[in-house]
Formats: sequence, structure tokens, C-alpha cells
Amino acid sequence: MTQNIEATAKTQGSELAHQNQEFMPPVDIYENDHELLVLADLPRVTTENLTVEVNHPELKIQGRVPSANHKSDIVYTRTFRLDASMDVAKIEAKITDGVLEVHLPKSEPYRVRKIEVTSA
Amino acid sequence: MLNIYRNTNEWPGFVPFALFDLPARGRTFGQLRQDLDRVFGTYEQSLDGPLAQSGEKAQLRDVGSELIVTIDLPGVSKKDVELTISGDNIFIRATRTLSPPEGYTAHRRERSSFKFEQAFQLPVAVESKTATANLQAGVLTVTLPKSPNAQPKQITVKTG
Repeated sequence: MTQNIEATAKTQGSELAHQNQEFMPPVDIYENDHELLVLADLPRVTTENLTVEVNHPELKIQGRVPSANHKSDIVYTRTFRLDASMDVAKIEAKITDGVLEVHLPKSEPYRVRKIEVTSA
Repeated sequence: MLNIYRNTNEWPGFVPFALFDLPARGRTFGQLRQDLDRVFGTYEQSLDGPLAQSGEKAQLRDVGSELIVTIDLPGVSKKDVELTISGDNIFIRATRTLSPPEGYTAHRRERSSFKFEQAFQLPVAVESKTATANLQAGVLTVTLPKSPNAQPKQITVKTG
């Protein structure tokens, strides 16, 4: 049995050597009048191994957890599609206690505002 | 109007609140890991393939002089973690309570609240007096020096 496993490992050796474990982290998405807020669970991910990038119209979140031997890193990836209402230049992100927060401000024309009605 | 969405698969719906009863002592680390997978891994296979899920939730490493237990607890603050070590038994309690941020409406809620209480058995007895626990980047790391004669001790969790 052990020999069989070793034989299999040997034939697939080069592929197995750099195999990442790919995951989609769970996310919450909230909205208020001014922004969308995306929260994602990314335990073990630190800022140096985290990228949040906008390549319009896509927003991609990717976090990596390096393994001790670098043979099977954990890679968390989520991709979202943005519409034109987001102010891409003002997107902000921070990670605290393994939870990523991405703030996506709405661009000015899409913000909710109340119009005061005046009488003549 | 929801104007952000995931471009693969559809989320199957509400993830039920996960709650575990305190089980009898003497469970193995492997069982703990399975239970953690149940707490966090509410992401069943759908017809279209795997949905959102996290990596391995708990690891036990034997580094010779000590055992190192790591458990994923994203968004859990140290006041919501309790650890008790006695001999080769370890008890872990962790709570995460999520609520929508003030003034926001929810479009998607895949992250779940949980209350996790679990006792399990280590492969060897450990020295509880010199054990340390650290909560950082959403990961609880417990370092347990091996010992033949361990005394019960409450471990205070601190952030690094």
C-alpha cells in the first residue's frame, strides 16, 4: 500500500510539488447611502500576502497563506464585478483579526440624497 | 440595487447558526478538526461545484519539545476565547457574534456567527504552566511544552 502511494506520488511528483489549495472565502456584502462594504474571512492572511485589485469592471481579492515547505500554499480568491456607480479611485481596504474590510464608495451621482422641497 | 456580485456560482442561501453542545472529554484532535470544519465549513457542494470555503481550520503540529495547536478564528477577539489545559486535555471556547454594521443593509451574508465549545485530547501530556496562547491575524496559536505531569491551569489569551 505504502509503495503504491509512493509510486503514485513519484509519477505525479512535479505537479504535486507546487500545488496550491484554492479556496473561496465567505463574504458579507453591505450597502448604505454612500458605499458598499465587503467583509471577507481571511484567517492567517497578513497584509504582505494580500492583494485587493481593481481591473475594471472586476474587483479581485486574493490572500495567500504560505505553507512551511511552500509546496501547498492556501490561496483565497474572490472576484466581483463592479458597475459604473463605484468610485474606483476611492476604494479602501484593511485587514483586522483575519477579516478583510473593503470600502467601495459610490461615485457622486449614485449617492442617495434627500432633496429639500421648498414652497413657492 | 445590488451592483456587486460574484461571477461564479450562486450562494445557496442562509447559513444556519452553528452551535455545539459541550461534549464529553477525551475526543481526539482529529475530531476537533472535523467539528471545526462543521462550524466554519457550512459550504456544501452545489451542482455547479464547490462554493465558498476556508482552508484547514485547525492544525496540530509536534515540533519535538512542544505541541503547537493553531485554530482559525477570524473576527474573534481575545475576550471571546477561553482556554483550559489539564494534563493531556485541552478545552477551547470561542464565540463570534456578527451583526450588520450600523446603518447598512445586507446584500449577502455568507460569514456566520458561531459559538464553539470543545474539549479534546492531546497525544501527550503537556506542561500547562508554561503554555502560551496568542491570537493574531484571526488565528489562535497555542504552544504546549510537553510534560509528563501537568497541572490544570487557566491560560489567558493575549494578542501579539
